[in-house]
Amino acid sequence: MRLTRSVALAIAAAMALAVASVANAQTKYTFYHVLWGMTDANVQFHIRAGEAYMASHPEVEIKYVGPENYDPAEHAKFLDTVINANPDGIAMHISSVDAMLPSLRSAAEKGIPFVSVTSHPPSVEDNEKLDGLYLSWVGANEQIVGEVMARHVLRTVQPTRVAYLMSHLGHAGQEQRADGFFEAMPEGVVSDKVATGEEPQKAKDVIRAYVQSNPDLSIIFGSALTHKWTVDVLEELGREDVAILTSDEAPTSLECILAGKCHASFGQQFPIQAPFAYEMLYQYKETGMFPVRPIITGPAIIDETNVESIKTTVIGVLGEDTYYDLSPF
Amino acid sequence: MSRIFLIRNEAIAIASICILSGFFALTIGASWFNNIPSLLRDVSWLGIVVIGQALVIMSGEFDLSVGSVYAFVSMVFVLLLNEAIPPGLSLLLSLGLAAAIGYLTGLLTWRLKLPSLLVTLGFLFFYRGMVEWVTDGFPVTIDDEIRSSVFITLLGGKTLGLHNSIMICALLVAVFTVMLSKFRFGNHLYAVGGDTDVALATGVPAGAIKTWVFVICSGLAGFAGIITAASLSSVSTTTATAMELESIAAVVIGGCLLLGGSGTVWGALLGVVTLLLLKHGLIILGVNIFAYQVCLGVVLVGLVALKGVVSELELYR
Amino acid sequence: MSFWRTALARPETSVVIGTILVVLFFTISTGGAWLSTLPSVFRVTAQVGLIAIGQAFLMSSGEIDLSVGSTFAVAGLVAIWAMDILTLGVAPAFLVALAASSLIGLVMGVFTVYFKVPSMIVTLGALFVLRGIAYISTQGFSLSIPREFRKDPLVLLAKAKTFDLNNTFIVLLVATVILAIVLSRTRFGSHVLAVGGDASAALANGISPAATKIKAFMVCSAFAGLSGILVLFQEGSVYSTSGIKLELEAIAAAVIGGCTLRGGSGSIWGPVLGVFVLSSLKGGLMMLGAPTSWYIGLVGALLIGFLIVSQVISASTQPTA
Repeated sequence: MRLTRSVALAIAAAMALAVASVANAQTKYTFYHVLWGMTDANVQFHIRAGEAYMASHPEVEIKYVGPENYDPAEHAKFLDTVINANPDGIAMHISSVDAMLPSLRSAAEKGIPFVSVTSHPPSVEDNEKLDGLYLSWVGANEQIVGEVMARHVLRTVQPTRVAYLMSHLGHAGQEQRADGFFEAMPEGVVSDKVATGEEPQKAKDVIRAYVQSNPDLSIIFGSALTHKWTVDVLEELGREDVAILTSDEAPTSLECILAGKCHASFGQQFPIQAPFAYEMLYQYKETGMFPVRPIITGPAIIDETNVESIKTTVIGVLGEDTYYDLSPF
Repeated sequence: MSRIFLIRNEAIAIASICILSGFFALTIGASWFNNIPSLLRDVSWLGIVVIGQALVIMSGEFDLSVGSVYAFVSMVFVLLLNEAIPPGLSLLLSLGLAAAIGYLTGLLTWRLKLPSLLVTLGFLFFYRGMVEWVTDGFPVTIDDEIRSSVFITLLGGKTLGLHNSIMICALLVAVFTVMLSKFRFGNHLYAVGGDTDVALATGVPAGAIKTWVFVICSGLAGFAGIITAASLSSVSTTTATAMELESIAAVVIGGCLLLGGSGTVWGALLGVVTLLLLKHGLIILGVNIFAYQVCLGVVLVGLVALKGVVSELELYR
Repeated sequence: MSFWRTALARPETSVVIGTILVVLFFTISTGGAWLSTLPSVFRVTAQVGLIAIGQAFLMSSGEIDLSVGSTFAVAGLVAIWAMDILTLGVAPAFLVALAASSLIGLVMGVFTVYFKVPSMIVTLGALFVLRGIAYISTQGFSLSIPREFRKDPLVLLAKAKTFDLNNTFIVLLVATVILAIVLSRTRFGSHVLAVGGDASAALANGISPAATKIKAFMVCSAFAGLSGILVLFQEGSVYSTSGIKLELEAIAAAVIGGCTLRGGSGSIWGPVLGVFVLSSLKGGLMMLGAPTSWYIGLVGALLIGFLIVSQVISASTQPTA
């Protein structure tokens, strides 16, 4: 009986605490940023930028939620739950138009403003479905990202076979990037999309087996998650001739270029994307105005010529400790 | 108080639901109630799977393959639809496939006396591999023109603002609750789960019961996948990768003994409600989703340990 | 005749045959090219193998550990904390991480034995809790060895090779020999087998099932941790996703290697061969041009195939009563 009583006491105390903390928060607007997968380093840019935004706008509270791993179905469920909380605005990467569409419609019916952040679906038919369901979008055009990276690497490398590593299975943006990359390759170059998944050992197994069975491989393009695994595997197999392309201004991508192991990366300016989105939502709530054209924040090529200056910027956002924690090089 | 825990195993789930609902209603306020339809929809999707898992666990076995079967069957369903096969026939064919999968599992566990934990572990890998092989890791989407067909809207649509899957799940729970309590199938199931040898000696067709249970479990897992696909119009290869663990956790929280021979279907459903209440509450509060993983583990072990301690105390009284 | 009977009765028989078949098949089908990939296969075998032998040891006592994949990640994280926050050297950090992993085993063992929670549930709970800890402490991404320790001799030793073999593989071989001797030749080992075979009979013979099982849990978690730390030293980082689903692969390897869920019998070197078969398949299939997705499906098919084969073999060698 004493046990029961103490459990009841503990629960009552927890509830009191929770009520007190809610009553304490005096916010005018609550925005949710529904992230696509919490195991992606890039979501840290959004979260850190959001902290800075909240510091400068004390009346705005931004909550960050998202599934553990990349899964559009799970992502759609999160969006649905967030809409039920009746927030003042939602910022989100539309990872799958079909899975998100019912939720986006109900957000529009409820009058909750929505901003599409990071890679936005490029196809005409997708955009017809989405018409009128969002204010605007901020991010990079992934198709162009792929093309720009291809043109950059073709200046120095004569490829015979190129690969794109899919770490987030079903990630619409990564698929567009891979398509743009492959389409910009010269005639006769073989291209493969390789699904690696997110678990490091399994991914390395896949990469190792792929490299071993394709001796004519010349370029591997992958996300900020996969390039360190690729570097390890190529070193293990002694295939220093393969050029590695990585993605984003993540610390590990920058350090890989600095270490001379990655050929190039690209930036879509993650640190400014989220603040643009929050500002759009904020201005919409305050004045009803919003930009009629998307804000395109990338891509910009990062290679050994400009990596130092990008590194200074990124350390400015993340801080030196986090920067080096995130890089194994 | 402690006596209640002994009288009904479901008491733990009911108490947790009351505490969690109270906590979230207080902290979140009105929008907590707005979320109930979404919560119920998610409960029904996982719930349909958990009904099957509960039956399997009551019969003294495990099914680790539910998540992979869910993904595989729903993928087949979408591919059949896109081949212009009528939705009704697609549904029947995919359900038939799911039942065949369950029958094979049942056959291996019963005929060859292989441990179901390992057989279904093997199938977990196998069907997930099939999904990845067929789709190359990319999501499959139902074609636009099929999406509006009557059948798909019936499975994935809404009536009066509530998802039809909620009704379907409620109906299934009712059917299986009645089957367990009023029909011979229920008696046989508990007998087989309690002690297979005794059951056999008293003339219970243990093999048939266990095989049926696996057929039902895979069938329901596939059905849940089909409903989800009809509602979201797409299936990704990573879908339901942790479902085997989540479904077993729900069944245990809902009061089933892992050794078999006891438990109820509605208790297992309450286990699902407990888990998803927690998850949705944490999402709305903006708490990092990884906290859910930690809570899930602590709640699971904590509740079972508490039950052990309470029954121990009761013995010494 | 009696030789065949003895050979067939050994739990490792089917995995030995399987290994020979796999090696022959890939060597012939790739015209010998597959043999040059063996160093990579050994490297992968070392990582999963260390976990599988711990799992096999625990399974001999009749319990199972689903949390090894999460323990694998957390051990690496503890090693990083010990270096970064406690500012310990690499060697003390290694020991701290190893101790922390055995502590995980201790806690799970206590819950299983004293709170009567089935080990499947305890370790399933631990899987979630430890994975959550790994996610939160890496903020969902990764943590790396502090910069000042990245060139430490011990770290380099884990990366290095001896006689063209990865040092981690040598660790696995040594660990396999030690653990096999512990299980078959020491009093602790016979206690583990006795407890796994029949806990109440063991109790009647003066063996404490509680203490024995807890120790077996600690051994299993310690080996999962050891693998995690060695992989950290090799690669420099722990990711939030490190080791996901590794428990399933380790259990599959243990079962292919002749372990059973019932306990009371077991093999340590069988599971190592099991891991070798699985890792060979992975590389070999890709060399033959099969899609990567075949691998995961084949693990499943193999697991079930081995279960059926060993069941048939044991049925045929059992004296008909």
